[in-house]
Amino acid sequence: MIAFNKATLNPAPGGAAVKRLPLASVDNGRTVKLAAILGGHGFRTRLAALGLVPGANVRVIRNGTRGPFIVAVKECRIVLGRGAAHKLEVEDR
Amino acid sequence: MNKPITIALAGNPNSGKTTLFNAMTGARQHVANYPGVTVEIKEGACRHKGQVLKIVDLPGTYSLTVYSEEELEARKFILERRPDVVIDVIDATNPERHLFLATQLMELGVPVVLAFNMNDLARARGVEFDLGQLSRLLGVPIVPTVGHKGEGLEALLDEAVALAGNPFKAPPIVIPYGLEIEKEIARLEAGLRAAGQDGSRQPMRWTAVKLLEQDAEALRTVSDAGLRDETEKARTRIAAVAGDGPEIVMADRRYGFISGACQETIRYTVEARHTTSDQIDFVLTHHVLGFPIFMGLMYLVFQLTFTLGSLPMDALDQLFQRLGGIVSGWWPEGSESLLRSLLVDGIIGGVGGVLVFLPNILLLFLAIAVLEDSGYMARAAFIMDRLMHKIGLHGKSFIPMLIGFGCSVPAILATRMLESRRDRMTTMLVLPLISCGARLPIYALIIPAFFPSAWQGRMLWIIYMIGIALAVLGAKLMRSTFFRGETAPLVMELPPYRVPTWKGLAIHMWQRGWLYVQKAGTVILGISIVLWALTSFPRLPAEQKQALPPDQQRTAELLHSAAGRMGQAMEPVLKPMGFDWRIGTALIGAFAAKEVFVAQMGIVFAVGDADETSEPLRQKLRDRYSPLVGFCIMLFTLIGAPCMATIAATRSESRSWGWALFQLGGLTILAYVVTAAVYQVGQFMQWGV
Repeated sequence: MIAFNKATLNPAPGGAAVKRLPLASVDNGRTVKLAAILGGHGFRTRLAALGLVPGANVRVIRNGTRGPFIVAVKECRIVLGRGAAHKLEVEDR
Repeated sequence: MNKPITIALAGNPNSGKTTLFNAMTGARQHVANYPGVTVEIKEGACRHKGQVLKIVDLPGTYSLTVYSEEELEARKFILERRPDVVIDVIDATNPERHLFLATQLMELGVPVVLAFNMNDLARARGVEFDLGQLSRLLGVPIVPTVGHKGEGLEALLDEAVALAGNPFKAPPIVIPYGLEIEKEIARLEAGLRAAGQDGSRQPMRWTAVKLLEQDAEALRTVSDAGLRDETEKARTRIAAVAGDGPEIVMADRRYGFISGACQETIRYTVEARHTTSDQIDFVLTHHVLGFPIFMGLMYLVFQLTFTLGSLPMDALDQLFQRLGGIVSGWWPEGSESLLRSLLVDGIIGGVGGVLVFLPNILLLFLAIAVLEDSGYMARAAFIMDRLMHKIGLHGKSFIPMLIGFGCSVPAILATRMLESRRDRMTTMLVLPLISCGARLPIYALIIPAFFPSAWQGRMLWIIYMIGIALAVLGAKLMRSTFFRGETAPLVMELPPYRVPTWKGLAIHMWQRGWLYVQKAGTVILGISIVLWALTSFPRLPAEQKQALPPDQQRTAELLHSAAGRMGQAMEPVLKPMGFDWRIGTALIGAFAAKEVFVAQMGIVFAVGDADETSEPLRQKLRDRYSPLVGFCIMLFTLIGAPCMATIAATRSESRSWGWALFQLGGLTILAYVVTAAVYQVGQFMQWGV
């Protein structure tokens, strides 16, 4: 099990505070920008092939309290396991 | 006549690639057998304007960077077998993501044609294309198609044939990765050239790009230590400048290139895609409703297989009985002929007893094809992920397990979709516990013989559930002993729901069903003859036979035969499970193929061409055994001694005899222990004795 990434505050280039948080903690229906992908090389390559690259807009379709959840990226629906969703860091304004 | 042109079909899973392949080749397709290829590659032929085309359906992949075996095999096929043209099937409703693979095919330096498939759907959803302009920007021909209607097929093949004749009509477009990365690519290309690579097998730029992406296969082919060192340094430099790993930065640049090309040429007028799909998903993947709906669907599949299949099954059964009668009629009444016995009891009885089961098999495969083609299978994996994760498996492991209800052999092949070896091996080893279609005739024989009709459906369900429960425990055991470690995180695309096409369903169902018929015609035919011989020889001397009352003659003959002797020798070992030598004899056949058990019981009990609908055989079973023994027979055949074909599949997929024999031995011992325990406890508690 990977450690839970605490939401961190990073000063954005524009000066406004941009919150970084794991995708797993984003609510249903919100659209966020993918900031970073943690985890191994294979995992990151697989995500990239599915359109999940830093900078991509990700909409959370279903974030149940437990189990995997569904996101929309580039017109397709992708299921991420809980563990995977914790490895994606997103920016939320 | 021209020499045939080889066209490879590439594309993401769910791009409609298989539908297009079916439209091109119809029924003229088969699973290709390339030496060393571990992933199923289908091949078919068609004729286009007098030109013979060989169409190869590559496994569906998201990219060509080696991550799974599908990707490795698709790439190896293109590089080593050099198809004349590659058609990349793009889902026109989602072109940007699907073009990612196209950029890699272009880099690979093969002639590429893009098929913008499901074009009707895209237009209905308000996507507008300028395909001429997009084609110029990407430097490859693009043809709009509608796979299930066959639209655009002519034009697509026209383009493919034209490109095959003149592959270098247009210079390939080079995807720009930006100054920093281009510098490193140039440096690595120079390094590769210095190391003696000539770029004839694969373009130098491709190798350099893959090295920077730390592609396992590319690294494997580069033996030069200096070059490896150089690659590592280049990666560090890129990471320092770009702030992320080169593989991510380069993927990002590819998407940038695609979105640049799409921005000018594709317009989305409505944002309607997936809305219906999302609504269906809201119910089907609901955190409370999803699981019961899934279980209900599975229950429905089994009920349908059992009830709907019984009508054609009875018809087939009568057909074989009549055939047996006709063949018997060739000999005069009362005469004894070895040949007649071989034909009627051995061949018609053995093969017929297995073939009557074909309607059930086809129905089950049809149900699985509907689940697959509609897109529900991916949801099933999603719903099961939480549960599967608890037992240390991947949500995707569920799909091979579901196929395992049909037959363990294709299910073992399907474990290739699992990327980590740990997940894959665990799934493979416990798969035979998922009750396959070949075991259904045994249950279909036993259940009505011993249980009241109200209990029959439930009994079948219980047996299946025991298999699933044991698979769960087995997986957990494997994961805590041989295959420790974290389960790979679940990442999977959910394709939009689609109405399956009749043609697609028919082809899926038939291809799998045909394998079963072939098995009946070859392996099972051979086994039937061997088993018939084992039960017929050595023959009881005539004078000894005459001395016995007529109703004991057949039994005495069997006791004298090789199979009877083997069964008798096994009896002390089988006794704790409540089995006698007759069951032991039939179990010998079941190892060769599970369904042979039924035919063999028929021969042992001398009821002629017995199958699972045979009432005389059921009557004899009822007379001789208790319901507890009936249950134990089902339990033992469920758990124990997977058939020879399964063991062979495990051997070839795990590339190890060790694991295959481990599977065989482990499951047989498990079956013995569980069945003996159930029998002993059942005897003690007086359950069904």
